[in-house]
Amino acid sequence: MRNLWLIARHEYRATVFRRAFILVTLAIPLGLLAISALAILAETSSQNRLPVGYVDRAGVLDLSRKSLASMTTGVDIRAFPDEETALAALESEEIQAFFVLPADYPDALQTDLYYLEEPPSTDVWRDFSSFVRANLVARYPQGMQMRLLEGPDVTVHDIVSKREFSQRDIVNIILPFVASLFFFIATMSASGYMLQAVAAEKENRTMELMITSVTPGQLIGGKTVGLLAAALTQLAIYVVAAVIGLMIASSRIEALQQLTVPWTYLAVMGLFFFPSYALIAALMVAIGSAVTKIQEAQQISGLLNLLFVLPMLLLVVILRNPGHPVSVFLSLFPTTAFLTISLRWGLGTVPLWQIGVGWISLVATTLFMVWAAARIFRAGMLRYGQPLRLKAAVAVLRRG
Amino acid sequence: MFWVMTFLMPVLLLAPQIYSAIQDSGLDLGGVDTGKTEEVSAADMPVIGLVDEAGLIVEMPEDFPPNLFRRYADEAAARAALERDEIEQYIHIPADYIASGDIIVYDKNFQIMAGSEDMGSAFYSASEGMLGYLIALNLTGDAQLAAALRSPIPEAYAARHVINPPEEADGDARAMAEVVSRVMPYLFYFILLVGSSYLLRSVAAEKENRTIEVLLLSLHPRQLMMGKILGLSVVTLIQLGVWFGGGLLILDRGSVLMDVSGFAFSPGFIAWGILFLALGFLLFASVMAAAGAMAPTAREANQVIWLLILPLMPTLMFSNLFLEEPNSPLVLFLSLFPFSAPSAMVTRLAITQVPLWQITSGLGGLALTTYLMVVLAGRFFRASNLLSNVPFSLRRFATGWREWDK
Repeated sequence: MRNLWLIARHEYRATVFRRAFILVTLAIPLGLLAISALAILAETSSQNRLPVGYVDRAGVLDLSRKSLASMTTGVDIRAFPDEETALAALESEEIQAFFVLPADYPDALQTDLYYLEEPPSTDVWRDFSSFVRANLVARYPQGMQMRLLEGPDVTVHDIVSKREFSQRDIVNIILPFVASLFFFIATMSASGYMLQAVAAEKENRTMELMITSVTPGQLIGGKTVGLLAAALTQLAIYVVAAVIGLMIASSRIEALQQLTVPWTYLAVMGLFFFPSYALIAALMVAIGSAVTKIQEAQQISGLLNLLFVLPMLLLVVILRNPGHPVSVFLSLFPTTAFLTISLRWGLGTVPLWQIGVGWISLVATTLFMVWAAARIFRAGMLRYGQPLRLKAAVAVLRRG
Repeated sequence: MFWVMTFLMPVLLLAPQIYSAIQDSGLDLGGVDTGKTEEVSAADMPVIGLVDEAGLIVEMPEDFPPNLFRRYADEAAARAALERDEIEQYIHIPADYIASGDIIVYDKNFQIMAGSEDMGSAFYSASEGMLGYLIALNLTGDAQLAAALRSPIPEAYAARHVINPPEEADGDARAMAEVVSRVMPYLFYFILLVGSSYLLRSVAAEKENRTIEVLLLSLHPRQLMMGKILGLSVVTLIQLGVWFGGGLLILDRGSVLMDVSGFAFSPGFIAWGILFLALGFLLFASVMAAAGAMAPTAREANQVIWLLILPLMPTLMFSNLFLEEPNSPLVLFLSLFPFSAPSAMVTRLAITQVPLWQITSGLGGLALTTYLMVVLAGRFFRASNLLSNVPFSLRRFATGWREWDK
């Protein structure tokens, strides 16, 4: 047992106390932050800030009701008495576009829209619609006005999972996506370290020395525990950074104040994370011990990593229809269950049977893989310069 | 294994992108049903329970299916019906709805994204759909007003008058441009990264297992670096050939499904593409060679790859912006910034006409940076670094380029 902890401590230190590890751990959240900032910059820089005009033939709009509308873009609205004046303003680029409401509005909803080259953006269109809505409800008492403008505030209770979904807590829908991304980065980098730890030591023959004083179980167990601790350190840094970021942002962004800690989600992910990690580690140990060159090991592991990353590649299918047979299959398949269920969590209820079957298939595969990896490791460890072919590996497993 | 990666990786990575691009662009797939149905038959219509404690819902719109809602006197009865699967979900409108605005929907195995296809979805109905309309109708008693409140200026009913119409773009050609704008950044991402990361790993591994000591006996470090870059360029060229050939085949097949005669790459695209690709590859390879020479172990070298991926990410993430606004400031910046230029500029060139000054400035900046990086990598790629296992340090980066092996 002492040897196991010794190896674990060494692996942890060899991975975490490196400048590259610290640099990468910090650079990934910072890089993602920079990319998000770029996205916001792109969104705002490309926005047309010129006012939007209207010609109201029905006489239903009044500019003084602008304050009642909930407008987000800050684009101003201007009234024009007729199309000629509005057109002149448009051509002199005083406004970006103008709408013409017909005389029988709102009985007829056919409008005319004039613009130079590009129609108003969806956000500007939404703002103008909000202004028209505020005018349409003006004749009703104030309480009713608010209700008609705001519409119903819907909360969905799922009677099976006992979960609650609400339009207000959109952040809780997005959170599992972000969490999945970080889980994914941490697990993939840990798998890379694991492969490196085994294949490199086999290639440079450190392993032969190691095995004289520790058992194969202690060696692999120690490496797995040490690298798991490294992956968890990376995750912890991400979580702390995210919590601090959210705490700062929630004072400015109202939607973030609704954020609650999703304990059920974290518990389910915890249940999946450890077997998934053990499965990746076992696979990497098996590959690392079977091949002779680290480059070859990296190529095979790249292919196997795809089996874990598949939900990210098929994100479009999962997003569009979380109940699609492909999504269900990925939730049950051992290598993809963790990431798929995490991605599906924010989008709705993941049926309990799928979580159960997914978890059982993951744990069963992991147990088998750990058993198989231990045998392949024993067989491949001392075969310097000789790869363990698939046929030989199967024979080793059969011998038990 | 190299061949498996060469053939399988692009297929696995590009398939979902192409699938989503085709779905978004609404290409006619030769009569293939894309899964969206316009009409739902009466028998398939969901039945939704309604517990209306506010006494609000009196009138039902004529265009709603007659048996869409089933009323229940209280929640217990509705809940029992939901548990027996007689209804899809039930809506509870509390007595104080006007004051609070709260509505509670009870569902089994609720899915948010099912909204656009399943009329039972609460979020969809709440915003602009069925439920908001139904409540507005009953609050105002005016069907036209309720419809207008749901969507005051419907996009479908707005007659558009463009003062300065842009050149007519063919629908299929635009759809094709959409596919190209999504696929191109991925293609470049892999060409630039796969080949150059092989270089990083091979340098770091040879350094760690000390093969480099033997090699340096008969080679100058710069010869070693250039030889490695040259060798891996050939590997990348083979990969590129396979992918490009596959791409042409797909395009050929694509032209059967859709009319792409309106879509053509801008003149000189291939020539510019090759120039940007070659310089971009050399840039990334030299950065990777320098990183490999500086990294004390292969493990540390692997961590550094993550850092080098970052400049290529924005082009992947903003592929939509490239299509919608190929001349926006951000796109322009990305196509001029040397580390993102190879993928960003070629993506732009594929879908739009780029002014010559921008192409030449992008290419000039890239060539200059590549030259500097190759010189710099040569200085880092020297015996004292290749034979040392001192960890990364800023000081070594800041001063390392000043000395070199003569």
